[in-house]
Order: sequence, then C-alpha cells, then structure tokens
Amino acid sequence: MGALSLTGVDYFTQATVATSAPLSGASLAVSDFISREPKRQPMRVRLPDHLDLAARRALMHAIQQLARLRQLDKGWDGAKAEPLTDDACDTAIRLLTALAMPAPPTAQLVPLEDGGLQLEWHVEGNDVELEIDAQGEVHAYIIAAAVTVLNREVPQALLPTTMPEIRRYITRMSRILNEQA
Amino acid sequence: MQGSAAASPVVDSEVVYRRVHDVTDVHFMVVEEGIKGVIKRRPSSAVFKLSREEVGLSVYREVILARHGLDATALLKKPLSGVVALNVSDVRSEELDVVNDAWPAETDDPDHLRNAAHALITGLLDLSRSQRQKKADRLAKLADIVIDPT
Repeated sequence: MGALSLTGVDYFTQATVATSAPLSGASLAVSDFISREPKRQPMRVRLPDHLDLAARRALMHAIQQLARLRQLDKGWDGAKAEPLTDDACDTAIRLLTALAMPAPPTAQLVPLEDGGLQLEWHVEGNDVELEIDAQGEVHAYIIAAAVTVLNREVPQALLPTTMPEIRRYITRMSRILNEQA
Repeated sequence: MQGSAAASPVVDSEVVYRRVHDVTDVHFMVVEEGIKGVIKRRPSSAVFKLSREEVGLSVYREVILARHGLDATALLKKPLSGVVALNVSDVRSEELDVVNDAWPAETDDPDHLRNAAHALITGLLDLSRSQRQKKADRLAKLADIVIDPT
C-alpha cells in the first residue's frame, strides 16, 4: 500500500495502483476563518482501484475541498456554526468515492452550520444535492430537466441500493457536458 | 430609536437581503455548468436552510436600510461575505412569509443600524425535511447576487 499525505488527507491505494496522480490546482489557501494549523487527524481515503486517472483526479479534487472544509473552526459562520463532524466527512468520502467517474460535472461542497455539508452538482436545469447531516445521514434531492425526481432521506442501509440511481443522474450530467464539448 | 424604525408591515413590492458567508475556497455560491462554457453562479440551497434553534431565515429590508442611509454593504461582516437579494413577492409565492424582526435579541453586533431592518423569512419551521429542501432550492434559484465576494 502506498500513501500520499497532502494537507490533511492520506490517499492510499492498492500496491498495483500508482499513488502519484498529479494534483493540479492543489493550492490550499486558508483564510482568517480557517485554522492555520491542522488540528485533526488526516482523513484516510482509499482510492478505488478501478478508477482511471481522470476519475481519480476529479475525486482527489473533491476530497481536497472536503479537507479544507474540515479545517473550519467552531463559529465559522456565526457563533452556532459547528465544525464538520467526522461522521459527515466519512459519509461524504463514501459518496464521492462511489460516484467517482471520468469527466464528471464539478462536485461542489458546501458546509452546513450543524456540522454537516452538501455535495452538489448542477448542469443546465439538472441538480443533484446530497445533504449530509452531522450524524452522516443523507437526504437526496435530484432535479432532472427541471422536474423533481427524488427528494427523500436515504438511510445508510439503503445507500448501496440508491447510489446507482444517483450515479445515473450524474452520468447524465456528464454526458450533457461532454456532448457540448 | 430602537423598536420604532421598522414597524411598517413588509409589503410584496419590497426587496430583502440575506448575507452569504464566503471565505477563501469555501463558497456558498455554486456554479451551474452550461452550454459552451456559459456558467451561471447562484447561491447554494444551503444559504436558505434553517440552522438549529432558528425560527426563520435572517434577512434585511432594503427600504428600512435606505431609511437609515444604508445599503446592502451594511450586511457585510467579513471581508469575503456576500449578499443576495429576494423579492418579497417571490418569497410569498412559495407559501412562505417575510415578517418584521427589528432589533433581534441575539446578534453579535446589537447596536448596528442594520438591525432596524432585520426581518425573518418564516414558514419553514413546520415543514418536513423534504419540503424544506424544496423551498431552499426555490429560494436559491430566485435569489440575485447583489454583492459577490469573488
């Protein structure tokens, strides 16, 4: 197993997979509102063996966004704003890993005041929003061609069976973008 | 002065502002990827979600701010926060309401004049998580960026 540590993330893969994927755009600017010194243990992120380089790069970019959000201190948006919880981060990593694909639309990560976060993808009237609460529970909200097709909580036990549906919509977004390219 | 300046009812023709937190590399504005590189920016639905103990979404009435010689910049607290605007009529078309909440008790800057314009978007508290998500998404898509931090 090889490991690469980069500002709060340990990526690791099986020995057969290179661990030196380029990390373009990996500058990790911090502001006055983000801890300058890492206080938390690095996240352990296993990169799936089957991913090609493009998919791995996109996944690592999203994970780096998550690593930045993990550095938010309590009170980052008013006194009541909580840092991201480990449960929320763990679920986010699971979802991002399960949804990794070549040439995906850009995953956008937005923190929530309760210690959760949202994973969002938006392409031309198509939206996938996965709200992860502080306990790591997921609420999926999907709009396809301006029509709401999914808007419900997805218990952890049902994630494996729901992920293909979510993945299908993100794949559709990817196809829209690639057809335009 | 406190308590008297914002007594007028909130009317449909008004505009309200909401602060959007934004720090380096942590954004509440999302991008919509579009045709041939056209990219639309708008606030995330997360901007319009209640946090714990909130009974409504904090907004500021443009007309009251103006009465005090203020504008949307009065909402800025940090160098990189932004401001989005909503028409009250749009909020009400979503079966939500905007009500006065001038000079709120819990604020970290209680003497700032902007507090005279403080109001709340109400109607979210009793909704289910799915209903709240849908309302938050609708508000995010109805909002205009007034001060963009980037």
